[in-house]
Amino acid sequence: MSNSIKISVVVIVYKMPRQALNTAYSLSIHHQRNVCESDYEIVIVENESTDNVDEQALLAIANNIRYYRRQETSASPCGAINFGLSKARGQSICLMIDGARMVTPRVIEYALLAQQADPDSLLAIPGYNLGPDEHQFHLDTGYNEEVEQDLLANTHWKDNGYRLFDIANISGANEKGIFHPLLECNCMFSSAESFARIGGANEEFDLPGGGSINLHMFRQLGMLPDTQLYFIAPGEGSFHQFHGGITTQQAADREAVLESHRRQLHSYWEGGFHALRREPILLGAVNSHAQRFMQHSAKFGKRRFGWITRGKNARHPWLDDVALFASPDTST
Amino acid sequence: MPASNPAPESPRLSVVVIVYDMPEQALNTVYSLSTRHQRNVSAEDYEIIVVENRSDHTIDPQRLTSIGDNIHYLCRDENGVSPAPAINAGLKLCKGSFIGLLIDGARMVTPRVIEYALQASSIDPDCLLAVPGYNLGPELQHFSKTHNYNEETEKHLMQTINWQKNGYRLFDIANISEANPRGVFQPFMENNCMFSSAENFNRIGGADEAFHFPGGGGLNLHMFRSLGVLENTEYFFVTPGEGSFHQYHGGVSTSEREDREESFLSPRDQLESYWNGQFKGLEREPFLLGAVGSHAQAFLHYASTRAIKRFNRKSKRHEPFWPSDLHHRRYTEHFL
Repeated sequence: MSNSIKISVVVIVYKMPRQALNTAYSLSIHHQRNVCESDYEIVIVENESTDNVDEQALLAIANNIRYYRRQETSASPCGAINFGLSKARGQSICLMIDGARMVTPRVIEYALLAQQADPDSLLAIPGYNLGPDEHQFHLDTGYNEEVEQDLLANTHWKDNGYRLFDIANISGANEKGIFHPLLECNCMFSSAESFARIGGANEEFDLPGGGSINLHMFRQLGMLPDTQLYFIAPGEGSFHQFHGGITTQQAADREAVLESHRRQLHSYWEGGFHALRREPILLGAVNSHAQRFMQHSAKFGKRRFGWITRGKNARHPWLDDVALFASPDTST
Repeated sequence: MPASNPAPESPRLSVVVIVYDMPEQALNTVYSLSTRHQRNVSAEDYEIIVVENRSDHTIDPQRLTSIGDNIHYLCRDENGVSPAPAINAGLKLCKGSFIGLLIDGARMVTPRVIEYALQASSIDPDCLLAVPGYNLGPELQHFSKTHNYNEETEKHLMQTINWQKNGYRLFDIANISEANPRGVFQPFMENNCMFSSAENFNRIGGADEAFHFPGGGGLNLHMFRSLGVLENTEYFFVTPGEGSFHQYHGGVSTSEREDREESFLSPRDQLESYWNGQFKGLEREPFLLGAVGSHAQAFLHYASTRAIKRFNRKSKRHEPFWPSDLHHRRYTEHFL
């Protein structure tokens, strides 16, 4: 492992060549602010398909991008994740299980700061969807790749990635914002050691798209005793681009697919799976574009704290902190 | 005479608290800073240096140092009415490479202020960290006479929340400080619980003793802005979920006196003389650090609502959001 690379961003790609190029650009030094190219690397792992990313165009984006195309018979990304983790040289790792997610310009900077605060910290970048609504409703809203491409072109996001907030909606997995437990995170940072501690991606998650592997890994990282600090960057985001994802397209059998995911996920967690109920430490600026989502979070946070800390069913708002640290010193 | 506990060998952080004629309030402040109240830190991490200018009402040193092992007390004679020499005396005693300054010893703090100060210094040793200010009680304390608010009513108010057990409850009995009446996403006019590196305090020359007015006049505003505009201060952190809470006492600019307007005029002129007549709040993009618990959440919502208005107004006028950032190399958002 080379110590000079502080962060490896592992991006998993499958059948999304155009989106993956946007994602890589958003992570690159052309778009990320206040960091050096040599601080981090971008490791793109693609399972070969009929629709691969243009390798030359990808590598031309920046000097710190490495690309691996691999053969995979399984429909799950778990093998690709573990392959990517084995190639990562950084002290910390960012896992983006869905290569269709673009990020805002200070994600790498804040990850470096979180690492300085505590190498074993977990940093979650909140998720959003491009367009007017969640992508599984795209048929109802007339949303498709062409509409999205126009939307992206009109925002000139490459000049200022924060404009992605202006054309996005909040992810359904965390629709009430950051003061509610995050169900999942598609852009999560922790130490390489913490990823090793959870054993990487459990390849038993062999359903198409990995089933709920992402939810599983996020909670696993969050529940490590070594993960003392759990950061959220309220002013940054990862933005899902429309593509034919397993759970992000509108299909008649979507509910049945999700149910099979849920069954598998619950089987791994005694008492059932929960969103990560840990108190987030906010990290980072919240600029003009992100502020309406900050307001949204604070509004729903206020409501949640109101009902959860009062009345006869009052309880600690962050039960996983209680489970992890006998008397959690949170801000409640 | 200095009274002192055995000092931690090399604390990372020194917190200087300036006290004059407010023994009860100062004891609350020190308790709030001590490990009895601060969470996720240990006494070895920091020291609390209390510097008091002698008056008829000085702190009982034994009560003070019995609060914790990391508390040092210096009582000094001072002919002047400004805290500037006391601040410099305190800065001289600091062993930490990171320093917190509470120029008004009547300000109690919430339980994770020390934790976040240490985190901030790990992230960037030369950062500036501001803990937002609030006032205890229902109204700004200048107008407390009008509302029958005094030390007794405040004492009672504090008892009702049992703040020693959970300092975040101070948010429940407080109002937002007039220094930042619109919350954390606006320029900070001043700050009464600020942290920066010992080197940065040196770079600004400590407390300029030319600020000779009672209470230092505009000294606190001057020091805060001086630290904030230093080129070395790349990061300006703000803790949205923590606060420093002003207790009622007979301070120069926080109690209702008939001559308040008058006594404030010339300190203002003095301050302006240092800034070419253009002194203003620190217009730097705040970098949030820290959790926001149930008690502070309403203030964050308020701040966010006001922030949206400010961003809209600035955008319409094509004004930069954070002009004080323009001198720094690091990217922040200047325009929409």
